[in-house]
Parts: sequence; structure tokens; C-alpha cells
Amino acid sequence: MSKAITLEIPSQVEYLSLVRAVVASAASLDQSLGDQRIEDLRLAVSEATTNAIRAHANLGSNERITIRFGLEGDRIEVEVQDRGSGFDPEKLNPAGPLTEKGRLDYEGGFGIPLMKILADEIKIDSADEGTTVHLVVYVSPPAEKDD
Amino acid sequence: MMLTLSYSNIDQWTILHVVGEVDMATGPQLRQEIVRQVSQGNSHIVVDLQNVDFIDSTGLGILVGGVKRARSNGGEFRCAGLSNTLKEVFALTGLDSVLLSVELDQDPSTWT
Repeated sequence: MSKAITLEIPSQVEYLSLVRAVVASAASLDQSLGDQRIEDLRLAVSEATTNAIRAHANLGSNERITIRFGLEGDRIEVEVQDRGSGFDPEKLNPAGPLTEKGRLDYEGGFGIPLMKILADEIKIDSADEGTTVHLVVYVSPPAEKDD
Repeated sequence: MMLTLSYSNIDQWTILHVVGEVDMATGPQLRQEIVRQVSQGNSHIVVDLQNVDFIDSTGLGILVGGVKRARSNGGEFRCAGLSNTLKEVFALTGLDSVLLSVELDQDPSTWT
């Protein structure tokens, strides 16, 4: 990644707002990226970082979380890397619509779907030694998204 | 980042004014206040989000929990003051299907 920024944070929720501020500021360096797309990226990265903090909390780990930001030509790439115990992204059961009976009993299930909607590309690499979420937002959005 | 919460009352409604960003760090404060209000019998709640420019999945979940808690106690849960960004997030997640938006400057009798 050229024009790259790497941020390492303690695995604590108090650092989420810092991550969002850095990502939004860095993304705004490309003046062709609209405010709404910056908001989309800010939320997607915050979700990925939240999941990383949760992964470390589940292990009782004090390891730091790494966020890499890159502005490369027509795309912004962000990687959020944790050292949690990993998970199988294919085995995630999406929560049903909120109007479904009993769905209001469950407060979770928004994070990964939001990332998938907000980012133009998302890839989740997960193994026993940790997870890396790759998010891409196009500076000039493609005419049509596949999904 | 702190979340500032205050409330006011109009008719049967409790208006919960939220200032700041709602995420995993600050969300528990909001959940606690909603639980407190409902436990005190204030189950008609409007969450005023006009001074909130960021809500993550944790915050959305807390609002879902608010809808559930209010309805379970015979009340209603509404939101107000959504920015365009929040409107988009609510629409993308389907939250707008269960959490109706009201105008605080309108007659509260129209909020039910």
C-alpha cells in the first residue's frame, strides 16, 4: 500500500473513536471521496475493530489490534487484524429481519452485514491465530454493485 | 468519547436526549438509561438522536432492545432527529421497520 498508515491500538473500546477519527481524516485526504462514502468507511472500520476487540476480550488477551489504511489509486483499503481465536465466516448464521417473530429478543447480528453492505469489497481471513478483515471502498464507485 | 444523556417529558412520553457517538464503549450507558426509564414505568420513550452523528451495530442492538422492552411493558419506543447518515443505516439494517421516527415539534398524539 502506498500512502499507508498503520495504527496499533490497545484492545479497549475507548480507542474506537480514535480509530474512526483517523480513518475519516485519512480518507478525506482524497478529495474525490464524498462525505457519505467516508461515513460508510468509518462505520465499516469501526465494526471490524469492534469485532477485533471482542475477539481479544473472549480470550482475555491484552494484545494490540492493528489497523492498516492505504489510499491506492482509485481505492481505499483498510485491514483490521486481531490475534483472537478466529472463526469460520461461512458458518455465520445471518439474523432474520427485525419483523420476524422473536427477532427483537436478540440485539446482535448487525455488524458483519453492515460491513458487507457499506464496503465495496470485503474479505475475512480467519484462522486459529487470528482474523484479518480486508475492506475496500472505491474512490469512484462502480456503476453497479454485484449484490 | 462520552455520551451525554438527559431527558424531558411530554404527555405520557419520555424524551431521551442523546449527545455523542453510540458504540460499544458508550452504548451501555444508553442501555442502562432505557432500562431505568422502563423500570420506573416510563415505557413510552422517544430517543432524540439529533445530536448523534454515529451509531454502530452495538447502538442499533440497544435500540432494538429498547423497542422490545417498551412493548413488553405496554409502551412504545420511537426515535427522532435522524441525520441522513443515520436514516441510511436504519434503512440498510431494516431498523426503520420496527423503530418509527417522529417529529418532536409535532403533537405527541401523532406519535403512537
